[in-house]
Amino acid sequence: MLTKKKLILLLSPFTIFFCFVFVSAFIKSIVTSLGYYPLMGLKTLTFKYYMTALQDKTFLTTSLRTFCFALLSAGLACLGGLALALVLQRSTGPVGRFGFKLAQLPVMLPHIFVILALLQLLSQTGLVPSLLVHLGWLKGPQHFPLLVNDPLQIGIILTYLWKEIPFVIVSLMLVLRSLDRRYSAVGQNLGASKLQIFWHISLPMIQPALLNAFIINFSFNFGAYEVPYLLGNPRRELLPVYIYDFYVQGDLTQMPLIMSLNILLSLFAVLCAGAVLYLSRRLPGGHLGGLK
Amino acid sequence: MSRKVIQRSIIIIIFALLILMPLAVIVFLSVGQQWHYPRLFPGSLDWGYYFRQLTTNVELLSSLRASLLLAGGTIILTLVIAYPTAIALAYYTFPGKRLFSVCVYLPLIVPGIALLTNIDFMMIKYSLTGTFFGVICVHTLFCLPYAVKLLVDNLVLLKNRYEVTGRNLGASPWQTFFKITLPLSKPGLQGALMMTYIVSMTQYLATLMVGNGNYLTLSVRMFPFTQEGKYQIAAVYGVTFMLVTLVPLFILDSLLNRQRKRG
Amino acid sequence: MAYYLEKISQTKGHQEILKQIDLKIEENEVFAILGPSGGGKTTLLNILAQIDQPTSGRFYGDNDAQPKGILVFQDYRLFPHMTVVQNITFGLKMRHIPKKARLARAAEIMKTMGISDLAKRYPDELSGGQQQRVALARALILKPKLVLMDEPFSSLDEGLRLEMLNFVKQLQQQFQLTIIFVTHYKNEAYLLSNQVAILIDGTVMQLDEPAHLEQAPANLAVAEFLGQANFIPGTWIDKTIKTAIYQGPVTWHTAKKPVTPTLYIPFAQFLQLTVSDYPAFKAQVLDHRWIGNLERVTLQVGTTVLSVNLPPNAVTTGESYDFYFKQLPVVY
Repeated sequence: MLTKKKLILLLSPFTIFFCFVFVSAFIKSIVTSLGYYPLMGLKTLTFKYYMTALQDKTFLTTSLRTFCFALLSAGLACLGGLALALVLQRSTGPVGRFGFKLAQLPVMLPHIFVILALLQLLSQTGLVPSLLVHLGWLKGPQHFPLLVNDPLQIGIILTYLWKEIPFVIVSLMLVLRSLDRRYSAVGQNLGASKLQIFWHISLPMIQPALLNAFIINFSFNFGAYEVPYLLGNPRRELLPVYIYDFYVQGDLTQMPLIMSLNILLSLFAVLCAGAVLYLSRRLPGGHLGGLK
Repeated sequence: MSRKVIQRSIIIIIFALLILMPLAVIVFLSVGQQWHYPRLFPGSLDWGYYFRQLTTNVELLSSLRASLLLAGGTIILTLVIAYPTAIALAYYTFPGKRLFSVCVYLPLIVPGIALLTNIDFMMIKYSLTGTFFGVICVHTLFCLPYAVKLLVDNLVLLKNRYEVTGRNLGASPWQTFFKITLPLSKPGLQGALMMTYIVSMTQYLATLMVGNGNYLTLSVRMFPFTQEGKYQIAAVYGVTFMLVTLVPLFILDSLLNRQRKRG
Repeated sequence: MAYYLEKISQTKGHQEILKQIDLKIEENEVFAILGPSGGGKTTLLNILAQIDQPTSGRFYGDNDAQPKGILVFQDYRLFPHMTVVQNITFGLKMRHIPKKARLARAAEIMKTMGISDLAKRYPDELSGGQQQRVALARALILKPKLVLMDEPFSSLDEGLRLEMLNFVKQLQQQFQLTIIFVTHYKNEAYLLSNQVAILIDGTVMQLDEPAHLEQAPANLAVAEFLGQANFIPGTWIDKTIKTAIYQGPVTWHTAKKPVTPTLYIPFAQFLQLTVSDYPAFKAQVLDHRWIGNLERVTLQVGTTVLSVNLPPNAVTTGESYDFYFKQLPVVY
């Protein structure tokens, strides 16, 4: 009953859809990036747009800044999520269950929610500075550190953490619940301390799920537009804002260059994800076998 | 022992407050009057204000309709594609299976901005920008990884032993599908449906760019209001968003839990 | 060093899983705990392995106030993310033994177990028997005095089961181990151990040698668990019993005379065709089947059907015979 004909039937919806939306978009942008853009009378294939992109100082510094930023915020989200997941897993009572339910909440809401709340709370005319002034801890609101639209991107990082720490918690709890307790009993019986059980048993077993969540968060932070647009610092622009502004300017002669930037970024992100997956395979826990 | 329990509870309570604080701020923003610097609390709370907006604000209602329409279309397209894909990934081994599943997850890995500008550029050529179909295609692309993952996890758990039993007892392939496979994958389908609904509702740039401004959903409209400092009206949209996502999902989830307990 | 379990009880929620368990386990013996699933066997092992704390009672040795048994789990629980050699050396690593010494000891124990060529494999690449040898090696490399085994052979094929049974016996001799193992297969218990404790509903119902256990179960629960017997309900007429197949004198092993007597007729060693002082009944042979060096004979007395083991070719199907009890029959 698992026949070849049926398999082809099952695979075709996704294949057709994916080719139509994803593959064709990328083929078109690869072709354009190579200088074939009949609409503007460009018909000779060339690598010059890639050369231009790779020599563009603004693009390169913005990319590097965005890469470091995405790495840092995704890393923080994973650390925070891991720590909280362990706390939640050990709290078996109603408080723990309540905490796990709450962790699912931010996953369901758009980023604009946190942005709005952060602006109301943390901007220099926000609630937290007001409170500090009322309490007399702050002379005036202008003494409150800049936390939104700041050069260190703190506002953006806070927004991403609010969304992504819960996402990591939800991903890890599912694995922790099914695996950990049985194997930690073995470890304990064989003489491992609590720290050793965490380091040699629990951590390797949740490592693949953790790194998966890391890849998803990293890619999102690297390529999402709305949060840096509202909370970013105009003088320390992040890549998504840079590309979006470039794209919506509507200068059609720039299209091949924009598309080459897109292809470079996509390749880079896929390579990063591949590297993390490779690392995950090689680290303890990379081979989990069929035992679940 | 008990000190550790207290420590953990304190950590969880702080976590809960941090999660709930933005939501509380939005609720109070939507009903509070004159909540500007340096006031710590809104001048007055007008609970009727939100409901008057909900019944009279034409823009808000059209946003709500656009959000729900897109979510509905996305759910149908996503499930139609994800379900057969998940069955293939769960029960078959075929050459190129790894590559195939990487393709499913690719939309989560490729940077959103690059993916969206590429797709927008392509859709302009096919005159799909600004169309309903164009927008739900992009939403579906981002929903598929989650939907397929949830369905595969559910199907792998079942293996296909019940299908084999069904066929062995003389059911036709279609009978087997409708009487056995479909009912058994109900939990997976429900999970995929809820996740697709959420992902579609929360899309911002995809809706704005490919929709060419024709589909101003709740999350799209919140954006310019927030940018212009009109926090109260942005919060009204936010509360509406919560009403149509959190409340039905919570009800559905507790209904499912009760069913599962009874089953 | 002998080990003692003293009044060990375990309560989870409102459920009493173990009730006042008292046992003494001698040094270098294989001690079997036999009982049905859900009788509290695994809970008891977890306590002896210090994975669980009992609600009350204590477990101690002659010169060890808190002995800890190394447990070989029923599903082996090899760490799926570690190779065989990493699994085996896990305990040594936790004790900060240097790598060189760890590997040397691992090589030695893998040789004993006959798994040297599996060192680099992962658990999901091993057969059931190989997984069990790795699990044993992982425990024995720690040179434990007390080894605990949870249903060690239940997931193995028949042939492999006998092989592993003998292997464990041999290991016990070689390493001078005290082994406590739990099982719900009585044959495993009889083959490995001279002392068998029957654990039913959290209580040790009987502690005996295998032969005596089968001949004289302490109560109906034990008799029913051991199976391989006919249970015929009856009523008292003074000191004799009246059942559908037999009427006459009986005896009982329980402290008090049973209120509603059940006549206990094990398949083996209870009924014979040779004349004795205890005539039983006249029965017709319905069927006889070969079961090794004996025959399982199905008898009919009136409307009651019962089974009994007899020497080969003692009876012919369709014929009727007079049967006798070997000794005074027992009721529960």
